[in-house]
Amino acid sequence: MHKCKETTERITELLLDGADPRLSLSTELRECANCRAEFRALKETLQLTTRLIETATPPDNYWPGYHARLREKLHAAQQPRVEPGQYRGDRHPSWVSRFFSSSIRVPVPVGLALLLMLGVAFVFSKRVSTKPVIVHVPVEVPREVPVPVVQEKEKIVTQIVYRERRSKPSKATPVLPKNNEAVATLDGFKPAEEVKLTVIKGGAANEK
Amino acid sequence: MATVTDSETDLIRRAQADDSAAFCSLAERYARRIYLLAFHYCRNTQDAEDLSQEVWLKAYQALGGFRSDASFYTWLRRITINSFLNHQRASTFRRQGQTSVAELIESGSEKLLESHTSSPQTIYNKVLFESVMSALADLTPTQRLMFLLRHYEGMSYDEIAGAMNCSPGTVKKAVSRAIAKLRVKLEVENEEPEQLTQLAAQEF
Repeated sequence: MHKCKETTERITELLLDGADPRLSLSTELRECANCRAEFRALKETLQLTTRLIETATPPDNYWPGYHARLREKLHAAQQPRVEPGQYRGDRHPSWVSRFFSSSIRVPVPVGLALLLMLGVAFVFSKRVSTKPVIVHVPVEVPREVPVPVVQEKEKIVTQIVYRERRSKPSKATPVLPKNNEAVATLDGFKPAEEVKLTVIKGGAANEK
Repeated sequence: MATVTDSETDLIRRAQADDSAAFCSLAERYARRIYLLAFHYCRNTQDAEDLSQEVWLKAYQALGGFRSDASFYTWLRRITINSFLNHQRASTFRRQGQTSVAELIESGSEKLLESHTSSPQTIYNKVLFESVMSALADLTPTQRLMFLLRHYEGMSYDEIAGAMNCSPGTVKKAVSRAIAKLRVKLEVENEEPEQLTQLAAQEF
């Protein structure tokens, strides 16, 4: 079954290879107007670009100058020319030079991370170093300070005093006044005719 | 089977023995091809000269490692591609603009020098040059290089993929896109007039 897309791809390949698609794709090109149009357009496009080479080719008198300039560059580059195999040890005989010229493969993310860390550390160190920090170093000065030593004096018993212990008076027994003290008496008391009694309720627990 | 001609083998041997004259003879053989490839890649005459001469210098320094199991040009083209890719990565082209027709005439282009005659062919060449250079400028550097290697150098997709360290499918896709872009830019019609359809059908 004919497919225009596949035919167009084949036409392109044949034209790029310099072959004529009309030979190998004659049936498709005869029967399909679309493929035929594609063939013509592709052929024209590639022909136009090919003709650019003819147009842009420098003239013959350009090349002597070109080669003269190239010879000069070659002459300048001739001195440091490196032959293959020169790096195998004869140019770096000592292990010191090999050590300093050695390299380690570091993955790009790791390298970037290391660079970033170095950068941050550098910036941080710069920032810290810009601020002058005054550090007071405590200086120890030896100084004698007289400390009073309190010494407890020894208690010396010089006199023994015996004290009489008095028992506290009980509530039941009335306190008797001491000698030479005034005693309250009922002399001259006259009872009143009316006695006012005030009963306060709620005093007892069973009172109603 | 020898892949290099005898005289070329002799020149290579002498050049490997530090004979710069022999190397210059080798350069004279392939200088035009390398220059044109460089010119179509960077689209500037001065950059093309610098780039192509850099290729020769690199080739001279690496000539000691050349083995005769491949052709000298194949080996040289590999160095050319690597140089192009290095320049592409570093974007070291001095001139960003492309060479105009006027500059090319000034440099003495054979085809365009005929502009004094103002013949239709010369006018056509000028227009063609400008339009194709402009169309190539629309391609990405990778697309342009792959297209040039496939179309101008006739390399296979596998060879290009090996040289550019990618898959053949990637190369094929890039070349296809490049051609499609060129078609649009060069305004190549893909419509066939009706009267031509019948004629074409008879032709095939």
